[in-house]
Amino acid sequence: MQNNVYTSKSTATPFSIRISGLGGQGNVLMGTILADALVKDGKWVIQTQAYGAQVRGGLTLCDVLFSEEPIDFPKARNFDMLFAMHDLALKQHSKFLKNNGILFVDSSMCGKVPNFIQSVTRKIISFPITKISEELFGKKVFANVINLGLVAATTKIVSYDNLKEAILEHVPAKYADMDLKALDEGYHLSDKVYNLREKLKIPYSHGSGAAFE
Amino acid sequence: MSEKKFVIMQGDEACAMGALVAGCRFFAGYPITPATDIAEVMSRELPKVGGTFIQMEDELGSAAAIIGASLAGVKSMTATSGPGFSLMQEAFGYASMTETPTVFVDVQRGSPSTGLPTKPAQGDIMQARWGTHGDHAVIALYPSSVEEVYRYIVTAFNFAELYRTPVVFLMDETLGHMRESFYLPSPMEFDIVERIQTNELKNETVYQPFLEDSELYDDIQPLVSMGKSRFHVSGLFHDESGFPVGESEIASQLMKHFINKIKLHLDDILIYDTYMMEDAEYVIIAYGITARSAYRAMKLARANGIKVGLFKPITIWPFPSVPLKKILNKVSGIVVAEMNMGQFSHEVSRINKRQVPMQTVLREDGQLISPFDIVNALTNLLGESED
Repeated sequence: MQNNVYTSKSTATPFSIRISGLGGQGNVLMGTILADALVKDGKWVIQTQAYGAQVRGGLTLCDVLFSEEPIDFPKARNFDMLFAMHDLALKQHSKFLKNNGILFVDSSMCGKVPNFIQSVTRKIISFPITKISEELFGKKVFANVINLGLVAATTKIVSYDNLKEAILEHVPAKYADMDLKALDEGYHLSDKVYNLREKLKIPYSHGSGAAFE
Repeated sequence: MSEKKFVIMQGDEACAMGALVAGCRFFAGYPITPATDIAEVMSRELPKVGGTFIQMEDELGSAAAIIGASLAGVKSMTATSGPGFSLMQEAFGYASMTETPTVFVDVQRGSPSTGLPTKPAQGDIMQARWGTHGDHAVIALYPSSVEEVYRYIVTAFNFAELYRTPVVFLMDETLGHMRESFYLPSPMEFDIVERIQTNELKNETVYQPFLEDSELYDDIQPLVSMGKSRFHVSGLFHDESGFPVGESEIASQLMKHFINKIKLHLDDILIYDTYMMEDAEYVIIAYGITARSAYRAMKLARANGIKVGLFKPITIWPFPSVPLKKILNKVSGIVVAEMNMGQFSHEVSRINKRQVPMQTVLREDGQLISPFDIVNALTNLLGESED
């Protein structure tokens, strides 16, 4: 009997990522590729998205949940990682970032990071991704793939090789080389590495991870 | 254990791919969020296996087309959402009356009318049962994960063939649009019920499509493809050859047949899962995507020492009265969670003859029921039983 949703006995919350920006920036594609790569890594993944009726424009978002165990409830309320690809997304969704979560900001598309974030997290990774994409390829559309490289480098949640494989499955062949170059570019943007969740050791506390069975 | 492929698939995609495994070779549909992706995958995949995809002019045409295709000997299905399902009800009744195996997928969205196209709801429960006019046989299945979609769409096709009835396959918007990882079952795992071929009939045999042999009216005559045998099909009450007859005796016999062919096979048709019911004092009843919230709520409650179990029906029509009655006899409290204004919980209270205290968690605003809502209802129930 293989594992499925109803074999999990754990009450641990899955890791959650929200990618948000304007429609057309490639948020959903980025989440799709990330989800595929995580599955190749052997993680249990649920990916959902929300968007308006228009082809381009309007705030869109793509949520990726992943865990070592099957995920029961498919939605998250707060997020361990948040990608703000546009100022609107930053304003709208930064309040959903978890304490000590990681915030990725595309500084060429976003304004100032709201002040309250400083009291939520210090893990802010900010690069002018879209500008870099434009300089390298003359197009803005590679920003999402640069972002993927950045995730792999700074969080180590997903392996670089599987990310590469997933990209090749999703992008048209004529753009494959450029996409791989963009991935590599993102991978070498930052040398910082952040842990997704750090356990705070509180004496005399059993924590919230209530034992089950 | 055989190595299974670990894949990620969208719910709608899994529905289409599972249907192909089941032997579906004809799809007629009209695009509607959130069921469009099923049509999209079908339009791409069906020609590869020699099947036919037609985008019809509307839902009325789609439903009629799959009945025609099925009578011609091809397993067929359509997919739509609530608004389209309403339009299909006339043809659905025709499929019931003519005992044509068909699968109607309804990926539900916020309703009534055009409602909330990209938000989930479970408002079509009663429509799946009583949507078309008159008493009729129906089977409705309701999976809760992408893996279950893939598995039970095959079951839906099998039921359609075995019991010669339209089968409703209900899904949630969230389930349809969600991509989820699971171990892909191999096609060898499934038993597929195939349509009888004409060469199995002797040359001189006159085929009577609506013949019943048994006194119990539960024998179902296998369907033979039209064109390979000649028979009449009518939405009027008909005799065993299919020609319309207005006699009340025959009408009553046919109606009994409709009811009994489902009723006398409930053991096969009723599919449900129970979790942690062995020592449970309370039960949560939930189906579809809500069952996942309920499963989490159950784990959270158990971690806090509340002895609660989960009953998750996959077959929601016919209503799982017998297994549910057994559970209701054991527990001292029930929570029913569903994303409508109480369509299924009404059925539960109908069989709750012992008047076991019951709490409902209802929501119809396009948001999922959270596990905490269900835990809250449970604690309310605990408070009640202490009074």
